[in-house]
Parts: sequence; C-alpha cells; structure tokens
Amino acid sequence: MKMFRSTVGSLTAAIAIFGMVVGPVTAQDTTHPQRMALPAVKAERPAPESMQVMLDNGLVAYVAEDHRAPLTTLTAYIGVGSGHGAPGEAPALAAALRRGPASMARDEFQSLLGTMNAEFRVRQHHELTEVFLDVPAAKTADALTLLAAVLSAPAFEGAESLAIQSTTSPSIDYNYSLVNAVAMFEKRLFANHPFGRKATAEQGTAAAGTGARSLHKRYVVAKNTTLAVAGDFKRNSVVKATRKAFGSLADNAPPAPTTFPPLSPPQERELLLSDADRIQGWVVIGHELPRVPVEDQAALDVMDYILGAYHLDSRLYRSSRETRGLTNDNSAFLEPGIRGPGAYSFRTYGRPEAVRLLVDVTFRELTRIRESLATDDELFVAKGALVDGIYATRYATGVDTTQAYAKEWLSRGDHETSASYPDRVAAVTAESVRAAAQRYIHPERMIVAVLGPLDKIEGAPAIESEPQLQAWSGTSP
Amino acid sequence: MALTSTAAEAASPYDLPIREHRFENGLRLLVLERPGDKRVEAKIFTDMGAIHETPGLLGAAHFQEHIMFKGTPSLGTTNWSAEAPIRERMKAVEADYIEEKNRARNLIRQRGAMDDYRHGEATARMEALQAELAALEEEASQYRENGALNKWYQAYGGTNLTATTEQEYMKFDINLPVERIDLFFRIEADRMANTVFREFDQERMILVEQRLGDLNKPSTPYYEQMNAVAGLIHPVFWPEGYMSDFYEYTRTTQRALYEEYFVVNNSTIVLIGGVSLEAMIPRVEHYFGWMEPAPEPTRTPAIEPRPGAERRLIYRNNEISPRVEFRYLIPAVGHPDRPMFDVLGEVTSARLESAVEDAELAATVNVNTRVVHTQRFGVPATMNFELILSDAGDLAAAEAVLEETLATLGEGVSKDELQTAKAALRTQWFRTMRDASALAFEIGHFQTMDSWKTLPKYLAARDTVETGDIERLAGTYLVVDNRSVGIARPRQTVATAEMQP
Repeated sequence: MKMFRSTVGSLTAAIAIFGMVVGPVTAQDTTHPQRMALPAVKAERPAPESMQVMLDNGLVAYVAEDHRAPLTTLTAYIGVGSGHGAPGEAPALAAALRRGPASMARDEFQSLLGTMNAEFRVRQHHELTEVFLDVPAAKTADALTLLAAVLSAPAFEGAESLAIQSTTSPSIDYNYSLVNAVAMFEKRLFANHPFGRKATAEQGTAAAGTGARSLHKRYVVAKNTTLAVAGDFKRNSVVKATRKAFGSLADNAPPAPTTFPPLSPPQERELLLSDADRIQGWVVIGHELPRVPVEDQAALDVMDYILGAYHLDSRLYRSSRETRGLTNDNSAFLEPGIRGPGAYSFRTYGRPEAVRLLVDVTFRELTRIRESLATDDELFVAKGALVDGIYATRYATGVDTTQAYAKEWLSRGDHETSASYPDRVAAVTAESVRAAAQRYIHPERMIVAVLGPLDKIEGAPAIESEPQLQAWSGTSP
Repeated sequence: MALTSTAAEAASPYDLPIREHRFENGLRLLVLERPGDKRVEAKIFTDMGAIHETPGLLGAAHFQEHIMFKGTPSLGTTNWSAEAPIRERMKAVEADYIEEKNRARNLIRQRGAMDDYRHGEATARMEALQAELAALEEEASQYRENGALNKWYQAYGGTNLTATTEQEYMKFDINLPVERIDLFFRIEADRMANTVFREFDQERMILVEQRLGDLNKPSTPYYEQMNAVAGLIHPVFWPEGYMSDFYEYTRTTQRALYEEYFVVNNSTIVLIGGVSLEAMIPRVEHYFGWMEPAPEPTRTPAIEPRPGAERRLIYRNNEISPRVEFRYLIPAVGHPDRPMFDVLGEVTSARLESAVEDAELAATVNVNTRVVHTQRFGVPATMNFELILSDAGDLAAAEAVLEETLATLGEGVSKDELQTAKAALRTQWFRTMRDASALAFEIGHFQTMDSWKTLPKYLAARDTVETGDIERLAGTYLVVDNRSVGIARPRQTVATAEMQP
C-alpha cells in the first residue's frame, strides 16, 4: 500500500545544482515547482546571418548542419497562395508542383522519389506555398537539383483532374468530421473573398491551361522564394550545391506583395447547421482575424494561450474537459494572415447531449476573458510556455531553425520581429491581455458552425440550463 | 547493487550510445547524450498496459493514464489537509456502493442479447451512494488547483506534453530545457507515488468521448472484429474498452492497478538531449531514491495458440470501404525472425502495388503489423495484408491477388527488391532517430517488450535478411492454417463464397 511520505522540500534549493552528489534520500521531495529554484533559461537562438545565404539571383537560403541523423531536409517557401491569381490558378500551380518537374513523367518522378526514399509534399496556404523534400543525406545534391527543377519548371501537363478538391468529404468519416465543420465555417467566413473562392469549371480549365503557367512565371521566382536546407552535411559544400542548383531560378522581379482586402464580418451571430448521422457533434465558433500589428502580437498570443491554445491547461480545456467531462478537446486556433485576414476559431466536439453545453461554455469563456483580468499564475504559465517552450523549440534543431528563418524572411524580409518576441512577451500585462481579448474576440458576431445529429443535439435535456442552438443566432445575448 | 553500463555495440548506422544505470530500488535510467542540445526529451515508461486488464474493465489502463494527470497532495490542491478527509470519505462511500452493487447483481445484471434489458437499472441505495460520491467530489473541488501537473511543466518551458497507453506500456512525456530536468523527476516521482483520483467521473466521460471518436470511424468495429478473429485468447488483441466497460471502473479497481504496477522497479526513465548520465544519476536518486521496490507485478500468462485452421470474417456494412485482409500470426520482438518481417512487409507491399495495377483493381494496399494501435509487441501478434477497394465487385479478384502475391514470396525475392526494402527501412529509422521523441519512444518501448539492447540488434538484423529468409518465413508463417481472412462488403452484396452449402 502506498503511503504519502514525509517531504524534504527545503532541501531542493540547496541541491538544484547539476552534478552535486547527494546522499541517500529517505523522504520524498515535494517542493512546489515555483520554489524549486529552477534556473532561468535565456532565450537564445542561432544568429540568422550565420545561416543565411543570398544567391546572385536574389534567392535567400538558410543552410545549417543538423547531425542528428543521416538525412537532409529541404523546404522551399514561395510567396504565392490560393489567394493569388485568378480563381483556380494557384491550386493548379500546386498540382503541377506535386507532379514534379516537367522533364519527367509523373510515374518517373514518383519512382525517383521512391528510389531516393524521399518524402515529398506540397502544401498551399492562403498566401504562400511550401514544397518539402526530405532525403537521406547521401542524396543531398540530387535533392537540391530535383527541387530546383520542380520549382523552375513544374509539370503543368498531367493526367489527373485539376478540379479543385473540396475540403468536405461526401461520406463523413471521423477524420473529416471536424474538418467538415471547419470547412462550413471557413466557407462562410471567406465568402466573396480571394481566400474563399472556388473556381468554376470554366475557370478551372483556363487555370490548368495558361493561367497556372502565368502565375508560375510571375511568382515562382528567386526573389519571391526562400529555402531552408538542413541536414547531415558539411555546410560549405551544401552552400555551393545550393548556389549551383538554384542559381538558375528566374531572377525577374516578382509582383509587388499583395495586400488582401479585409473581410466583411457579419454584424451579428450566424448559426450554420449541418445534419449528420454520427454519434458525436462538431462545433467551430469564430470570426475573422484582422492583420495583427507587431505591437499586439505578444499580448494576443498570451491571451490565446490562456484561453485555449492547444495544450492541456487552457481555460477552455479546463471548463469543458477537466471539470465537466464534456469533450476530449476544446481549443483555440489563432491563424493570422501575412498581408491579409486570418481566422480565429474555437473548435470542440462531443456526444450529442454535450454539444449545446459546449457551445454555451465556450461563449462563457470568451466573455470572461474579455471582461476580467488574467491571474498572475496564468500570465506566468503562458509567458513561460510561449518563450521557454514554444519559441525555444522553434530554434532547437537545424531543421526547425532554417524553416523558421526562411518562412519569416519571406513574410517579413527581416528577423527583427522574432528577435524581439521574448522581450515583448515579457512585457505583457493582465491589462494588455484583456485589451487583446476585447480587440480580437467579438462573441456578439461570431459564426457558429455545428455539424452532427441535430435532432439528438436539440432534443437532449439541458445539463446546466444551456440554451438551444438557435439562441446563438442573431443578436440574442 | 547499482549497475552502470555503456552499450558496446559495434559501430553501425544503428549505433545507439545509450548509457544505463540501475538504481538499487530497481528504477532503470537510460540516457542518450547529445552534447550541446539545449533541451532534453524525457519519458518515463511503466511496464503496464492493456494486456493487464480484466474483461469487463477493458480500457482501465488507459483510464489510469488519464487519472494520473489529476495531481497529488502537493500539486493540484490548495489545501490538502482539508481535501484529504473528503477523499477518505469517498473511499468509504464507494466501498458501500460496490457492496450494494454486488448485492443487487441479479437485479442489474444485463440479460438481453439484443438489448440491455435488466430487471432494474439500480437500487435506490446505489443511486443515493452515487449522488453522495458526486456531492463529495463537488465539495472537494473547492480546493482544486486545475492543471496541476501540466501547468508547471508548461510554465517552465515544457513542450510535447503527452502520455500514451497501449497494450504493453504506459508512458508520460515532456521536452524541457536541460537546466530544468529536475522538474520532470520531481513531478513524475510524485505522480508515481501519490496520484489522487480527482474528477473520476468527469474523466470517465472523456474515455466515453474518445471511444465515440473511434466509433465514428466506420472501420473501427471491423478491425476490432478482425482482432477478435485473429487473436483467440491473448489480451493484446482486446480493444481499448467497450462502452459498458467505462461505467464499471471504480476508484477501488483503479487503485489496485496503480498500487501494483506504478512502482519504481517497474519503471524506466529515458532521456535524450544535452544531459549526461553522470549528472542525472544523483538527480534521479534524489527524487526517486526514497522509493522501496515493490513485489514484481502480475504478468499475463496468456499465450496465443497457433490458429491451426483458417478463420474467416464476413463483415457486412455499408459505411466501410469494401476490403479483403489476410492476417497471419507472427513472432514477437525478441524472436530472431521478427525483424525479417519488416523486410517481408516492404517487399510484399511493393509486389501488391504492382499486382493491383496489373489486375487493374482500384485498390489501396495496406501492409502492417498493427493490432489496435501498436505495430510491435513482445508477444506474438499478426502481420496484416489488406486491399481496400472502391468496388465490392472486385472482392473475389482482390482475394486472388492477395493469395497469388503472397504465394510468390515462397519462390524467392530478388536482390533489388531486398535492397529497396532495406533502404526504405533504414531511411524510416533515420527519420525516427532524428526525432528525439520518436527515438525515446522506441528505446522505452523495446525495453518494455524485451530490452533496449534488442533495438540496435533488431535494426541491424533487417539489413542481413536474404532471399532464403523470406522464402522460409513465407513457408513457415504465411500458410493457410495460420491465417485469418477478413472480408468487408456492403450488406446488399451476396458473396459467392457465402452461397456455398
């Protein structure tokens, strides 16, 4: 039978020094973490200039050795996303990049990737496109050449349809249920905006023909592309190989950076319902996120962390999961744009009888963070997590660091913002957290998307006198 | 007698310079030093998992993991001296509840085969005692400091905060700045020794939610049926709990699991990062050294018998994609044949891709060794060859493709195929090795299955596989009497095989 042991908390401060040999311990040390005298951690990261390589054509690359395994990771960031060009052009460009270089048949490219034991993927966001290639280190030079070929001349001709894939799934599967609720939300949020458009069949055909080529010619150029290269190699040789492989990438000036229009948010709450014969319901609540100025970023991040950023101790997590047992997760998704709007949403799911209360609890927490001050403990935890944890891990390895720098250079053209982040977080106060909540959270005009067995959700008896879903429509309190 | 040793593996791509220390109380410390790293990946493994569960209480191991996030007397309460008497009262009330439930067993026993008919749902006393338990939990909640363990980990820079329970292990994970590794030892020692079972009923519902999430995948019931067909008796094949199980957990049954398995001599700490074994030994001693070794926990004596005859599952369901699957019982990690199956799997996967293309089948090839969620076991489990189809009309052709392709393994494998398979496996391993969390998991998992020293040997053994080995494996294991066949098809399709007398 386990017994609660006597403790020796007072010892800890005296022995919190590495390597100090202690004698036999006969009692448990249960010193509270805040009294453990845990050493301060300085927010350090490799100097970006020590990794940065500027090619003659203007391409900026970040090259770093990373000897954890005999692998090399290449990531290209291109300043073109689904919001650019005419409808359908950017997805057609992404499809061409996925097919590989024009000099190879699709099967040949796939076979080559297999031979190289490569991982290859293309991800397109609203404002940028990522091309990722991971290979054994012995294939580094080949991978650089291959990636440069993909970027320079992707295979626009392809057998597969270039029709834009809907993010919704015709038959709901667990893996797509929350995705479908998010899709409902985003379809409404980005309606009539470049980030939300869908190409017509005619536009898709035009995009697949000349549109995507034109977009490629204008945007996939050295000055609109950054590169992260990290792996088990000698840096100098890979810098040379990078210059050689990417030196021929077009050096024409890209179009001026696009500033996308802001969204026109609804003036009152909107309820979107979709009936699905499943055993859970999925909920997405949120609205637009305007461009966030640097001076707001730290307070917004701290506020988001306290409220619901994905971790195991947010207010949303505690109120929905820990204390009520309603859901496995209730988290916030802060998705800022670069030169355009983003989204701020809160996502949860649960058994039908829990869904209405989940919506209610989420709104209660949104209201609470706007109206009351965060506690000292909450601030302490959030600041530590954001700087000593999340920020530090962003620069923990060669792969992480080169990717972070390459993405930042493409988005901002400098590294000042990330450099000042720890200090800006340190300066955040309870008042600035509340101000951020008031500026960026508007419960009175949120989109509420619910996907699930609506009859069961609406027919379930109230657990805590929570209202019906219709209460979250319009201007009700 | 404490023992410190260093792995003396020959230099190879799989060299893992793991350094080990066994403490006098049985705790094992494994450190893979990465000098210069500013962070350390830390995991603590307990040699306990779903294979130690009891039918009717499946999922209890996973539930224990959830409960172990609820804090201790020193973390998670604002006033333990006020909370403790309430917790003691709860024990007494729950004991009364269990006694009443046992007394009323013939009233509440489920008797329906197609429904949950019972003579009565609960006695009035059961309901009163449940209400009393809920009221006591509510009373105790006034002293609750939420997020007890998590928040301090995160406050001090912890990332990758998670935990996992599978059939043969439970682990808790964190990635910390190296200077703050003491926090891991302090919290995990406390978690191991002093977990308080707070918010028990709320957490029960989280398992319900996770089960509902699994059941939202149409494939879940199919795979569970296939596990039941392929595995006759070993708990490694049991699912992570049925809905009825979750309502049967009591603090008493969970306490028994906790007391028996979460003991220092049943635990392994794995550290990867900028720390050294020498620096860690006194730190671990400080936080865990006071613990006494406990009696060796109970191990499941179950041994899965060889099937001896082909078993077949016809799964009729309109939501799941039609599919044909062959499963064969294969040896456990620790058996010399087991690493070869990784190579066989790669070769077969490639052959199936070609065969599917040649047969013009719209099919996804899926070759794996997964049972429930895990790919490798210290007990015999299965290798699975699956073709997922677009059209149920292709089921017979798909079965023929599986049959014929697997038969070709007995006729030899080319050097090119072997080299391709081995290269793919090597690269997969390197991707694991690059990720400290994934690597620490493999080290700890191998320790619970067999020994961490098996891991580099296992990886190296894959590189030595020759065509004769594949032929032998095919002839020994991929035989009809060692096979379970799963066929999933829409309800309205009548399979030819089913019309046979």
